[in-house]
Amino acid sequence: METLLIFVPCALYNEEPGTLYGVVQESKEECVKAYFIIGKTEGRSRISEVEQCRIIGYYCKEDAPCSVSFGEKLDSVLLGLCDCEFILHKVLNGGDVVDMSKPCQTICIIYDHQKFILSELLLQSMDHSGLMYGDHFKMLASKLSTEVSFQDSSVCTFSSLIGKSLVSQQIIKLLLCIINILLRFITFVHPVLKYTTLESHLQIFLQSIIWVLQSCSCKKNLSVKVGNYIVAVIVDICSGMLILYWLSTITSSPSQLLLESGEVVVRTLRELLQWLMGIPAGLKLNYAFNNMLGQFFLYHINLWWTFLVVAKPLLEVTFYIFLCLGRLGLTFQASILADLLALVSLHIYCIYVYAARLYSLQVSGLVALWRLFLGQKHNPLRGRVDSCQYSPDQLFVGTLAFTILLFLLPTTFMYYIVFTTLRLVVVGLGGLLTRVRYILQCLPLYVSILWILQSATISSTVHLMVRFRETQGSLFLSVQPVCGSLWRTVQYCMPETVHPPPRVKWGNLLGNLVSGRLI
Amino acid sequence: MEQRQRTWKKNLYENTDYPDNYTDKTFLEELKKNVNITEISPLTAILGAGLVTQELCIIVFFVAVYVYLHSGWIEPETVFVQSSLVAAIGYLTYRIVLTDKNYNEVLITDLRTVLIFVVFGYVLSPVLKTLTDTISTDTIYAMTTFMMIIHLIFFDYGVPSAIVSSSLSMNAAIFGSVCLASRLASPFHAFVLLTNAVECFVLLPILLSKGRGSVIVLAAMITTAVYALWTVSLIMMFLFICVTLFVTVLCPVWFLRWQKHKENIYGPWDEAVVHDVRM
Repeated sequence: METLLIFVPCALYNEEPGTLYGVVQESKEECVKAYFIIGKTEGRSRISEVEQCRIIGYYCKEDAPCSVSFGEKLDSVLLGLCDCEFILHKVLNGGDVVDMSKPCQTICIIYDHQKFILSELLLQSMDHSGLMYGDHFKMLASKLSTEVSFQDSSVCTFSSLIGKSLVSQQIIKLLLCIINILLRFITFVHPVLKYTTLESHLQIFLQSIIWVLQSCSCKKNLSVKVGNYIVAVIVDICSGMLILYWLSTITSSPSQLLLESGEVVVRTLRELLQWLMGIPAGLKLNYAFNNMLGQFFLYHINLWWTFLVVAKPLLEVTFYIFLCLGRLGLTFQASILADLLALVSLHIYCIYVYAARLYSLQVSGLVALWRLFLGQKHNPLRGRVDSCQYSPDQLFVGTLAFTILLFLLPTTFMYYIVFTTLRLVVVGLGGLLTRVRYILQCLPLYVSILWILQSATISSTVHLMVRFRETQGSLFLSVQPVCGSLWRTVQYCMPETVHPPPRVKWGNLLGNLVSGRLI
Repeated sequence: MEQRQRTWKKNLYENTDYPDNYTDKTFLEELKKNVNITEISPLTAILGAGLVTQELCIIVFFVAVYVYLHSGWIEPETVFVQSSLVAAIGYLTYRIVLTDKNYNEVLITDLRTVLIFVVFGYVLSPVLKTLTDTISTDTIYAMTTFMMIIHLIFFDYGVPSAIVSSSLSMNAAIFGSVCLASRLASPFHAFVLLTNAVECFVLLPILLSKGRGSVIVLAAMITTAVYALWTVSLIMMFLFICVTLFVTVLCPVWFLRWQKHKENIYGPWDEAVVHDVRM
């Protein structure tokens, strides 16, 4: 028993009688056959232009069932109008007349042609959900969109007017050329600058602009995604200007501010090291080793501070360049800030690397020597721990080394903990800035306004209502594209060139912390 | 009453006349008790227990050396020279008198071992001395005691047993001696104590393994240990004498007295032991 779905455009209410054309789709597993009625035409000649569309039935308005023979048509529908409601006079399925008295065997779905064409997100959202009846609406939406490209569109918006004019096409081509050159230049200096966040951000920014321009020139009008991105960029630039203005009112020389903050960091670090070299928190540390490590790290900090002082003029020049670039938006300022943070905390990173390497060496040495203590050895061939017969001098040297490493472990561990915490704080701040940048780039302001206004362009799901039900026979439903949840709509409208920042793997992080690998 | 025509045989297919729960009077006649009983004489028992006492004496001797060095009753140079002399004599005795091998080829290996011990000990002793500066003395003594007990448990007494791990026992003894050495006054003291430890725990057992079964050696060691403790602390001496009596006298007595309660059963159900046939 096949269920028949018949999709009828509601525009037929006001139309004159004529031939209906569309597509028939059948799926054997679900026993469903769908008749998609795309539109009505007077003559028969135009139908062959449209791919896969063919005559599917006849619409007779208010007349009684007329004697129109369908000839060789196997699947066809005879539609009529009665009391402002559609009625199905006759349905042919594979040449047989369908008995419409059986309840729910024929379902007639009335759809709004305009709204389905307007919606930009329907096709995309249907890909995500895997519903059975979603397939039919997807098929309907795709057939409608291909049909629109053959007809003159009755929708005429401001954006499409601008898109079609010749001058704008030339401007777009010129802009594309310039930006391609810029992008090539950036990729050229990539090996040098690849550690700076500014360079990667600039790359993404240029790629997004290329994407915007290309989609504008392809589709000849502004899609919702592109509009969303442009609004986000404008908000970005405005807030960037505001922050720069505020910064200029606070301080006259921002580079001096940077150097002062650098000096504060260095001073705090020096005090921290002095505290560690004493008796921190009452811990029992090896005095000689502690002293040696502390002096070594202090020497490094002094080195770094001397470097900063010597390179001060160069820093001022680079800072001025950064300020210029910061006018391009808050996201640029965030990436500049991330770079500055990395620069200022370079000595913390150095000391962290030393402490981490020392700690990991000590821990791995301890594990190996503990096995020697017990008379065992790691067998790399079998990947397991076996007992091993050591000679007395090996045992002697091994035990001595084990004792030394064991008693020096608290000192190393303490330095490791302190500098790993500092490093985690710096990395956390950097991650925060990356996420702020990502949010600013994908700010869904335009989409949210459209969603509040429940505009038809961002509808992503469909809403079915029971329209009319005959006492015997077919069920009449009407379908409306509606907006989905805000979160879903925002997700569909993310710009394609911007990728979300990678997630933090907490298990990995913990393992790296314990064994002393670098973060 | 059934006629028992056939005698009962010990298999499953012939005894059809008998009921299923029949127990023959030849049941368990192949059971043998205490077949491989070995008569242990009191001397053997005491000597066996004496192995543990010997090791205990070595530990006591070592601790006495530490106490002398720590209290300053003896100069480290004296200790170094004397212990080196004793070690040299012991080595020569072992190699020439007790072992039959040609000692030319092992001389190089032995010299290399000695060199490694001395060089590493001397180089690392400054580090070892400051290793446990901030740890309290009581913790150090507790750790050393624990390590020496582990040394006693896992030592190779010449008895084949699963728990024996000669490397663990040696490592524990060296660890304990490093703990003690870090309490001494100068790096040279630490070096001397470390050398002493190596001689006591690595070299002396090799020599003593040749002297197993000798009552004189046992008696000499006990006397030396008692004398050393007498000079250090009377209480410790009495404690040591009590422990020695317990281990060397009381435990073998109990062991011998309770031998008569021994009841090992052997029978045809034991696993077959395949012996090599010497052609």
